[in-house]
Amino acid sequence: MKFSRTEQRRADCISRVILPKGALGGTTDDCDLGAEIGRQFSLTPWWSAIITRIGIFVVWYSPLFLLRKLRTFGGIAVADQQSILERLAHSPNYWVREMSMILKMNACNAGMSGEAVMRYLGAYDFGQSVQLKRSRS
Amino acid sequence: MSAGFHDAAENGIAVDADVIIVGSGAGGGAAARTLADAGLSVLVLEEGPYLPSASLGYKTFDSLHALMRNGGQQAAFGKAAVPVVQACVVGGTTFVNSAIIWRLPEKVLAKWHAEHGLADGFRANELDDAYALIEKDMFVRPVTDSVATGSDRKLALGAERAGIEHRAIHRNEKDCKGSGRCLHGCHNDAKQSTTINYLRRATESGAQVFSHARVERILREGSKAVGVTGTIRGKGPQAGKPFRAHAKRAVIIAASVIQSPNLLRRSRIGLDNSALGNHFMAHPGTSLVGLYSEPMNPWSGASQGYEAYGLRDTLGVKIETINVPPEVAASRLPGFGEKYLSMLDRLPYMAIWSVALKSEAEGNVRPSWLLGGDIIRYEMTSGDFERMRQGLKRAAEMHFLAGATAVLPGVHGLPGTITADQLSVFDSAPLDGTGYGIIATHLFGTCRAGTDPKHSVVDAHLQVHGTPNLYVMDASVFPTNTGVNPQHSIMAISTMASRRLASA
Ligand SMILES: Cc1cc2nc3c(=O)[nH]c(=O)nc-3n(C[C@H](O)[C@H](O)[C@H](O)COP(=O)(O)OP(=O)(O)OC[C@H]3O[C@@H](n4cnc5c(N)ncnc54)[C@H](O)[C@@H]3O)c2cc1C
Repeated sequence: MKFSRTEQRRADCISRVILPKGALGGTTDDCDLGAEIGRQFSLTPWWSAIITRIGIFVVWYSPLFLLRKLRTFGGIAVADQQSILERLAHSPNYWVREMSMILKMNACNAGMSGEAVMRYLGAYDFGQSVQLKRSRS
Repeated sequence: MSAGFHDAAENGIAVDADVIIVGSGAGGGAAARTLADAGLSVLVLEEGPYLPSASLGYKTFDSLHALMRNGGQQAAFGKAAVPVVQACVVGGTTFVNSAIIWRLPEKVLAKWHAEHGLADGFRANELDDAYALIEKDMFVRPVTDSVATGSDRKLALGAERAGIEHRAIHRNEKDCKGSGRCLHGCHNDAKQSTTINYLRRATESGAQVFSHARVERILREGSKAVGVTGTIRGKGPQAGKPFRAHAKRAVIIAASVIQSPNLLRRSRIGLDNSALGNHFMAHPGTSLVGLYSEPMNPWSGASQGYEAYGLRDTLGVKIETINVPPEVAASRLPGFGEKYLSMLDRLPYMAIWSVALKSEAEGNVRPSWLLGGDIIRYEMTSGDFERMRQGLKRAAEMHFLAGATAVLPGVHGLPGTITADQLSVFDSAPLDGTGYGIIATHLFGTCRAGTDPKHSVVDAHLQVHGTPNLYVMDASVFPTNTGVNPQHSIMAISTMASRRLASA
């Protein structure tokens, strides 16, 4: 399965609310989250990809039923976007929570597995951070 | 074709051998080495690719996609979806596992003897012999200080103060550099997966290992197994072509707890056997994060370095440190916006411990046209969750005893973070799977061994009841779950059964 352009744009917008610019010293800022999530989507088995697709759809239109506003997710204030994601993550419905968790996982996989993040955290062989050195001593 | 590793997509497949082994993980690797050493010609057919360490990446999504069955998206379904992680690569799940080594507990073996009639086949002295060989050849030793992490030291301290038995984890590795990436496959060839150890030894004794060789049916003449058919996968001139291979002495299925029973079923073997594909068991696990004031760097060190095993007999719970890639750790943190950003900032100060449960639940696996070919049904019991929440509570208590300033329970309905005076919140944790982030990595039971041909799939020598020359040698033959990490017992049982087969 492949993302449409609209889905890619929406995925980017939702993921940027999850992983805002400036996170981890700004090391995720240059990542095109929508494009990377789209790439991962195209490699994922359909039953899992479909949850992402539904998740993006539900989040995008959730202001209609959660905030009772005639707006989409992209058209509301950041604080409202965050509160929507928070409410979905704590939904009494297990599948809604799972969907929300998968969107967070997608955002983290897309934004946080780059070399800049690893270097910032001192992870793996990209150069040891001060933290890593201290913990080993 | 010569002994060694071959890509079936490039070269096609050898057409006959004394023994054909389907699957190259813990069970298949041990069988291959034992039988090749005994002088038999051995053909190992593995569905996944052969991946040298130089080709391995560090990004979790790409690693899951390259190494795991269904890109790591396989799950068992009940009230909740429980991810069931298995590798699909030469080396099987030993290629991605944490290299933790445990012998089968005596109590478990005694139960198998008493309740499943396995005293004759699973002799303690023969198993001890196999363990000793594996431990020597796979360089098993406790995690050394050079790759122990802050999290390991905290677990040791917390367990000591809580009065729970603990130790540095024993692992099969040589010169582990503590790069914390076992899940991505070992970049340093330190972890002794079957790929770099047992299969390599097997090839030195003449075995041929074919990657991209997916077996689809077992061939029989009368009731006797005589070979297999399948399709070549991957990319190359032979990809997509069917193959057929013949075995003079035996066909050994070591395709894992999910694929072995389904391969038998697709081959119309054991269809009237009530045990085939049933009694699916697991050690479901979840994780608990402790926040400390000093850095833990939960992506570094031995992937799993320390364990508290003293609750195994009472709660059926084992607590282990676990280091995971940053993006995996981050995706489990609570909150959005400022709350989440401050969590991310504290990521280096988190120690992650897993709580794995010897679950009493049983599920089943069946072939399916959907979901990548296999469907798994599994529902943990409320008794399991009673023990799970007690296990989480003890782990949280240990975190606080070790100096954590807060703990992140990661359970729906509980606060995102708790302090030491809030341990009682675990008493009201949910009693079903929808409240937890559970995954299942240790699987058992779908071709269980036993003497009763109606209620077991293989006999005490791992031969399929009623099908001469057909054996199953992987974790599916375990009649119960074990409460400890299974790779070592799988390899020992497979070694023992293969020795008998070779000398028969
Ligand atoms: C993340 C993770 C960490 C773990 N850590 C540990 C640990 O530290 N210690 C421990 O003891 N255990 C650990 N385990 C579990 C352990 O690795 C497994 O229990 C063990 O590898 C199972 O051995 P097996 O032979 O049954 O199957 P596998 O090792 O899974 O091997 C089966 C092989 O058969 C192949 N196959 C399947 N179907 C076919 C077919 N039709 N044709 C050809 N080939 C086929 C598969 O691709 C696979 O390579 C871990 C598991 C996971 C997922």
